[in-house]
Amino acid sequence: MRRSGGRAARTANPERGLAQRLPFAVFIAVSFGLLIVSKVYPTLNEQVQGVLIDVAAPVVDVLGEPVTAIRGFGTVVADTLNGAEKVEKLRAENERLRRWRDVAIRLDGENAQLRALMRVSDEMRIPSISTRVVSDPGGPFVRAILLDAGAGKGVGKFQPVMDSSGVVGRIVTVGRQSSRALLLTDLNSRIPVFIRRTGDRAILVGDNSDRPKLAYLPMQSSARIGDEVFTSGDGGIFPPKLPVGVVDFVDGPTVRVKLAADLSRLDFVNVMAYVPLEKPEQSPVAQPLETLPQGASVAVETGLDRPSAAALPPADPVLPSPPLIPAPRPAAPADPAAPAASASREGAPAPPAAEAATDDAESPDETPPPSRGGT
Amino acid sequence: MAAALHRAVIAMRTGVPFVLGLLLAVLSFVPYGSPEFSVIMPSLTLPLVYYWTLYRPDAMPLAAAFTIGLWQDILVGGPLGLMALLLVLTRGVIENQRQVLLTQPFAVGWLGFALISAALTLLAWGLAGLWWDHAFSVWPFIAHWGLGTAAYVPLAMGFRQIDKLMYEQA
Repeated sequence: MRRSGGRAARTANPERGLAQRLPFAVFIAVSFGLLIVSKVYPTLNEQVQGVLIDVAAPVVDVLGEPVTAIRGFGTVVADTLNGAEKVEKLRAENERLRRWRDVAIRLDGENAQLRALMRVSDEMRIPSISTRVVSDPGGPFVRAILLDAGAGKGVGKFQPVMDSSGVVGRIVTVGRQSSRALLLTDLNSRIPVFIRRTGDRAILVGDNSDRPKLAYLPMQSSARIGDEVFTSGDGGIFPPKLPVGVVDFVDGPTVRVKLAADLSRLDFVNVMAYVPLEKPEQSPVAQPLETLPQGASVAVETGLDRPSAAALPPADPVLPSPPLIPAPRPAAPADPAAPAASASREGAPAPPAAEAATDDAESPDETPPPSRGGT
Repeated sequence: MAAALHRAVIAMRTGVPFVLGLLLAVLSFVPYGSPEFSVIMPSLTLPLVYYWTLYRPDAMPLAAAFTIGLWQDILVGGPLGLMALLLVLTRGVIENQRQVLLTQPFAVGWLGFALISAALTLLAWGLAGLWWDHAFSVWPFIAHWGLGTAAYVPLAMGFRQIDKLMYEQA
């Protein structure tokens, strides 16, 4: 085994010592330089990462196959061992869901009637893109996952990512074939939410723990364990009324939420092709009515400028559209809700709104399913 | 013919640890189905750079350590350069100390790894805190370090086998 020269050798031959140290110093400087540049120019960092994840994701995907297969085998073995118990549990759940289906059908009918009465015509279906989760966070710094779908399938920045139970996070980096989603538990995650029972608005703040906390709750908030938390749609980044989780810890001002999404079983997720709201000053609403182009009536009505499902890039596979998402209310500049929404995006508390009113009267038993279709 | 074979052997000797490093970096990110484990998942590249710098420094040049670190940074999606910095530091520091460590039994080498990985974990904790403007909880980092230190033993045994294959049979 060859041994490179140590301190004595360098002392005897200072030029050789310098030649050894120079590359070391250069690599240290380059590493520090990269650290500083990625901090000072976050947009550049994001663009570079967007290109690089298209290289990284397929490699992680291929190497993860054996692990995924072993996990799948383990699940099959566990299911086989607990088969009878599972069947009984699923049967009970099926029965419960059947009752909820009846409730949903009745509410859907009522909803349609009320919409017709109120002449609310712009009910949107947000298509979603089903995609595989390629990677775990893998370390103590970031709570983010790589997804096997990118801009080529219609994934865009800020789009909500959901599993079958609730919100998982949002897209932060988009490559051509892959993307990265920041989980709600990440310390950089901030999403506006409301508590269904009280209507209190807050910001769900990740802190790298498995239970994010609610910040900017009103002083007089009476949040309690078991309260359901949904996205509020404030700020226009997320659609409203997506299920987030339930309050499971309250200690004075500290309120924590247990996520509805199961972060330990993120094999597949849905990315909702939701286009964030424009700022009011960029909206056609800000233009005088007579200057609006023909066919802009919907935009005037909703303050939105979103592509229709048909205008989005083809997604493969596109799941059947998720539950109906109601159109957010008009966001005209004169509307006091608009600045409030912008403020909440910056992390400021937003006032409670009437749309968060409870509808507990419809709960026949247990925890009701998320009411995403209500007006 | 003999010269070509010699070049191929040299390329293999430097290429194998490098490719192994890239693969081990990926192994930290495959979905194991446990968010708790994922958070404390040890860095498998640190033992790799430590081992090869200690026993076969020619097979782990600075550029290789830097590239493996940068690859890991890309996978994390956080600050570019952080892991690259840690691995380059490992390469530089251990190269300076290898004369001392090589004459010691394996347990001392392991202790050396535990010490340098503790120092680097502390540095990573500090730099990450500065980069994100956030005081990270130290516990995931301590668990991360502990698991990494424990993982060094089986990893070093595996590296030793690869080392034997490449140098004693090639």
